[in-house]
Amino acid sequence: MRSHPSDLLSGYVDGTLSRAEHVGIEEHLATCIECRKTVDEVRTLQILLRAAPQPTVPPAALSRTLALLEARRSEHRWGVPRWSVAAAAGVAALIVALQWPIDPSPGPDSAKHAGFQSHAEVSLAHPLADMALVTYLATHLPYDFELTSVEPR
Amino acid sequence: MTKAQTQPDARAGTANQFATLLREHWDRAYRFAYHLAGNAQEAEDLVQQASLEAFAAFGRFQRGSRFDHWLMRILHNSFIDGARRAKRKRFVSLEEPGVGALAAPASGDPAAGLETALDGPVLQAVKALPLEFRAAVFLVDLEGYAYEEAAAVMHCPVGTVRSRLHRGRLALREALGDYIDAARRGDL
Repeated sequence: MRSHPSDLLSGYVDGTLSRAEHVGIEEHLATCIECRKTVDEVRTLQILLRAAPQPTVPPAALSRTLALLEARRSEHRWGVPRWSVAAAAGVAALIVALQWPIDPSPGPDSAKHAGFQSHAEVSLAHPLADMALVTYLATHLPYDFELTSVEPR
Repeated sequence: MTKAQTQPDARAGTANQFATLLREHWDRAYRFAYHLAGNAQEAEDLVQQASLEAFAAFGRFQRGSRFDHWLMRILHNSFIDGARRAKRKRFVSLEEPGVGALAAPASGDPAAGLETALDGPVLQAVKALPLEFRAAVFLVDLEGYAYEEAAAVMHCPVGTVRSRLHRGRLALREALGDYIDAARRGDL
């Protein structure tokens, strides 16, 4: 059975073959009526395709898409979703909580006192410090020293 | 001017630049979407989805390269993803005849039936092709893309474009045989 260079025929019509392929197809076409007919029909088909009416583009479709894009852009204008603010506040609260000394034992342990005072000062300087809480803890925790350098703001 | 003042302006400038490019290439993108999806409603949904994806990725678009190629590629990918999801549900192949049913109008929908009637025989024949055949035919025969450009849009080798194109053309030759014969006789 004689083989036909099927896929190459479209390339031949479109002029996309290499020189060697092009020459090979021309030699084949010289002796193959069937492939010559295919080439001819593909060329005619291309004319039909280019002459056929194309789908009408809805006039408002672009406006709808641009409006949607603008809406999406506005949503992201401020960039920070609400959940991330809540998460950040939670993390900050956890950090502050972990800085409190957990050990409530009284006694004249100067290193422990210094550590508590340092924590209290850092906590007061923190923008998220809860003044009422710090003052309450400094007043009521059973440590025998005074927060002399910590003044309520 | 502070950074805080310039950033919104930069974002607005980018959005305006994107909108300008989208307007410029909208008709071609819509036509591609129509040929892929097969009807006006799904075509608009597809081109809208592709536009949103392109806007989200606009920072990665290489300035100076062809925006229409980039947008068409995103659109094609978006449709393929959707078709694959449908394939998993419907058990149809993207390359075998019969996937044209994806493009067929819903039965009993008067608007879809009218749309098909308005398409004319040539467009109807293209819509009945398997997906990747009609994509190749649209890009090369209807839009005049070079094989390399079509390959970039379809994300496949050039040889695959040539093969899909030829098989698509042979299928169209069968479907439009009477019209082709009439044209060759000079009767059209």
